[in-house]
Amino acid sequence: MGHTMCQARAAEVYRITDEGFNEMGEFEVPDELRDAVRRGAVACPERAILILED
Amino acid sequence: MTEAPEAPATLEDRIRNWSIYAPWLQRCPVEHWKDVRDHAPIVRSEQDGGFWILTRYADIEWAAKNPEIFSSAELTVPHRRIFHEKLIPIQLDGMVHRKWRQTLAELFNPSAVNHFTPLLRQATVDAVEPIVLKGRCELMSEYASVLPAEAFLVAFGIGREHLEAFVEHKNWLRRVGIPSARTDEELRAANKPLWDFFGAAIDRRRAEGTDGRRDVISRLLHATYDGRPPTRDEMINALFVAMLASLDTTTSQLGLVFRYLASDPEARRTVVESPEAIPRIVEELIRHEPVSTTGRVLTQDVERHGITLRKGDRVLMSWGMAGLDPDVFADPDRIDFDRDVTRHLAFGAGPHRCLGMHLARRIIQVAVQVWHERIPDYHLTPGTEPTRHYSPALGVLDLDITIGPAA
Repeated sequence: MGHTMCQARAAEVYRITDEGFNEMGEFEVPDELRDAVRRGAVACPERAILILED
Repeated sequence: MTEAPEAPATLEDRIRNWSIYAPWLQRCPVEHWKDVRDHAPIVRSEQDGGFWILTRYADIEWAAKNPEIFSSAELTVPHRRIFHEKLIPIQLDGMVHRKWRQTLAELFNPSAVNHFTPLLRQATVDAVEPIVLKGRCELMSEYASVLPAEAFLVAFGIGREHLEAFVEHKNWLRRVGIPSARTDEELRAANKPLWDFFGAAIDRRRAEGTDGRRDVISRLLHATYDGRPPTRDEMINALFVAMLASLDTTTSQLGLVFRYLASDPEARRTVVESPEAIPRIVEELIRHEPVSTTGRVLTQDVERHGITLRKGDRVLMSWGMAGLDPDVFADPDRIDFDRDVTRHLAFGAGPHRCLGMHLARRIIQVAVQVWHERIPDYHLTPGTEPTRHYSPALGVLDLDITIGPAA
């Protein structure tokens, strides 16, 4: 069961399954969503979201 | 009114005498905790047969994520037997624990919580409306104790007509039954009313049918554990544990959340004007207002920070207090609803992380939302002071609230 914190903090970016997991895999982040992506990522109690900067 | 017992004179004495049941610690556990934490990452209390206290988030998380070293076979400090059998799943380890989590996890997942939210909301509205009419309330007994009990019955598919019996049995068990039971026989007798209550609920549901139902008991009646149906006793065990783990903890958290909101007009204004902010407001308050403490027992010797923890030693797990660790949270004593890092340990970590966490969050979010829709302004009744406690969960026993602006 996942925490759902990424979606709770940045619903415009993150989708979760019924079990509360983020199964989105790797995706490109448009500029206007950079802040939201970061907010959701740091919210994860398991530190499961990795941000790769180009 | 009796004077609060004085704390032991020196920090060393306070560490040696640390126990969540200690009378001198009931009033200001957080302030004392911070002194201990700043002193050393691992300290030892001589109370209750002696136990270690991990004071840093990093070490609490490390212990939680190493269950083969830190076993849940002894869960509280001091260890109190609730049943003869191990509590399902909270007292289990290893593969047996994993299999029970596989059986139980989907019963409490976000989708189930979303499904039950309308009923939770209705129960919350029913609880708040008499308060609106009276203009004043004792929030713990009239709101904070009521909502987790109602939510439990909703989530488990037990009719609301059983609320009074349920709460009565549970209060008796906590206040009289468990504390006074000295032998296994007496404990069995103390547990009997609730054991029978849950057994009857299971039998009723089986007779009435489970078609299309998503409540926990219905789903349990179709679940498998390790490829076979759970036994009736195993189901009752799991229900009992869910009750013990969820009622007082959520009640305490609600008390602390409302105590804070009663004191902060700007926070109340944010809740009223931007209800979409409620989940992150609640999460920050869960971080800042510690509630839960449990324990572990060592299965082997292990060294940490130059100290050897020995096989058989007990360890206090101060989940709630970890939320105040300055190594993880910038300016941790400050409440900041826009805080970046919110990954507190209030719901634990690792394999035993709270199964009910999504339901707990939702209960509190709905409690805050529904209250502020009807009662945007309120304050702690002048001349009253909430009675604070550290055990069995950290919280307040009473919270006298008057509706309207403070004079």
